[in-house]
Amino acid sequence: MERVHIEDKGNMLIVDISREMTMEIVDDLKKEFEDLFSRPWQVMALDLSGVAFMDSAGIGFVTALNNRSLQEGRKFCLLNPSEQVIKTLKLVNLWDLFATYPSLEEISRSLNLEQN
Amino acid sequence: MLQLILKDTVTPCRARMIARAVKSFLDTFVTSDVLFDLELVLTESCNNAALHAYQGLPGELEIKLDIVEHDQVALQIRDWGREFQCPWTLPDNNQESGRGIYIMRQVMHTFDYSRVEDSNIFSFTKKVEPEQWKECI
Repeated sequence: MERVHIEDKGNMLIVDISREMTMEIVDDLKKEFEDLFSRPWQVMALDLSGVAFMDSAGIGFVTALNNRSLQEGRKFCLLNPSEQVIKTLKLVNLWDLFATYPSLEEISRSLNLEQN
Repeated sequence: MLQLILKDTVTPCRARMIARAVKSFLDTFVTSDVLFDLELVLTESCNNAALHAYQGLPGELEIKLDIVEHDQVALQIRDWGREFQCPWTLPDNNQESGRGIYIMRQVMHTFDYSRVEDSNIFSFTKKVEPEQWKECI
């Protein structure tokens, strides 16, 4: 995967997208993430600390990841989203939809996950 | 008043690039908070033209930008594709699309859409406060 960095900790999958999340790359991201749903993670933490810009297509992509995770009985959360991402999600009243954490330790503690 | 007119061919792959080009121009004049809102509008507008008006095929796009110093920024975005028929209100939280127009209406002070001579014209204005202009003005 060129666009994302993945760290597989078994029960937690940490996916770092350090680039813009816009219409021009969302279709590619969807294909890349399709493989990730075949892995046996319990929690997907989407690291958005490096996302400098997100449009409505990016919002839709994050919403889709959240929807699918819930449908499959898994957890999805945002990890340390950038100021721009926070502002954009608040703009469309979605900020409260996502579980958001400032650090991996906080995710593990809140969700009672064992650190590998 | 300063005016910029940009004409280009828009596609899903080029939409963001076009928006970025206009944003770079605006960066000279307004502060980052205003720029953030204008970049969102530019990007969503170009996306709309590429995806909805031209349905992914290449099509003509015209962006007119009027900078009225110490007052406002006005944007007009025109395409010659299909008539615009997308949702104007915010969809349910779990919906994965349909937020573009809502975003544009939220961040700009005025918003207008008209269908003129087989073209879609989106017009926006954003009031810019005195402290939101850069010193070059």
